[in-house]
Amino acid sequence: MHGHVDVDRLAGTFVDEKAVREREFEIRLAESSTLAVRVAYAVLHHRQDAEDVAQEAFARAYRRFGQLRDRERFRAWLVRMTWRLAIDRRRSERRRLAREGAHLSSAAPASAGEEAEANERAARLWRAIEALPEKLRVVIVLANIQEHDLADVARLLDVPTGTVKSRLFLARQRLKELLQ
Amino acid sequence: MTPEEFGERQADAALDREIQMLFAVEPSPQFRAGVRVRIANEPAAAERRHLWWLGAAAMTAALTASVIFTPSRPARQNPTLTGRSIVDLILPESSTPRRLPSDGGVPADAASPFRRAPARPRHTRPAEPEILLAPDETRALRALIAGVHAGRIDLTPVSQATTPDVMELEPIHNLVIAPIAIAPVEGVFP
Repeated sequence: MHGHVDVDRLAGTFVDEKAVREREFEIRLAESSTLAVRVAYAVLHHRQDAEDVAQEAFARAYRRFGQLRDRERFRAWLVRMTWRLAIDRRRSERRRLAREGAHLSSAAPASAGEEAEANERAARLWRAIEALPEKLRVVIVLANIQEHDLADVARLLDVPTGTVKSRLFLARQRLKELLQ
Repeated sequence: MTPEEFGERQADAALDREIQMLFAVEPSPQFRAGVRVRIANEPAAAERRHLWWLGAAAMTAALTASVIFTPSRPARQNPTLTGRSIVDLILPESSTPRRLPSDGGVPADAASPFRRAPARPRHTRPAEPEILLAPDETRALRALIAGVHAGRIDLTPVSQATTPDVMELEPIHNLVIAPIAIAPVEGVFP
């Protein structure tokens, strides 16, 4: 009969579609969790806050998952969103982070030894990365997360590979200067 | 590759290793469950967001309507008489005698080969009779309307207030008016 709509079949299609979508999101969540947490951690220096921000980014990604089905697009969007949320969080909790920064610098044990030296070195490295301009900082962070190569970073930031290369070079130079 | 370049690369690699160690955090086992909880809690939050947008849209529509339906007329500027004679204001430009400079020379605009046509004042008759309101009253009315739209002013008590009815008098049936008797004044008339 013309105009007849098989409601059950249509409902089944929607259910299938939703199930496929859920499965796809679950895959993205599994493969990009570390990326999101590390990006947030690079900004916040605080594990719990980093997880919180990364979870929020995933929740937002789920809301827009219809436009983010493509894997590369999803990861690029997730990195940008996580970075932005982490920056916002850090701005809003600057006072608390200042306290934790002081805690970090005083976290080195008083006793001399390799561990104390390593902690001091890590604290200096954090401060040096923190002192970089945002464009250089995000490149050095992404290049050192999950062994991304230049092309990966370029895709994540949606900029040419040459731009990533020059920014990475500048970032390393600045870091070496700051650490000397 | 020169020894300097080799040393540079070694230094870069060492720096990268340090940074990688710095960022080497893994999500906790509860991380994915936390994402799921957030997504499950989304519908309520999404509904609140939609309600907020609905309220904002209604407010925008109300403001737009008030802007459209509020009569707005440009402020009239009273002509000032400073520096111009009353004749200049009353008579059209062509009929006013051209004044010569005080030094008796040529007028400033006479040197121009082109004479600028005098601007013709536009007299547009308004389609409706113009309602004149004092600026203070206009401002007060606009402030009132804006206050009502913004929710700062509540006119409900005013609209619900009962106005006192006109006092109705009882019909007078048994009204007795005594005739007025005027006694003649003694001694005036013979």
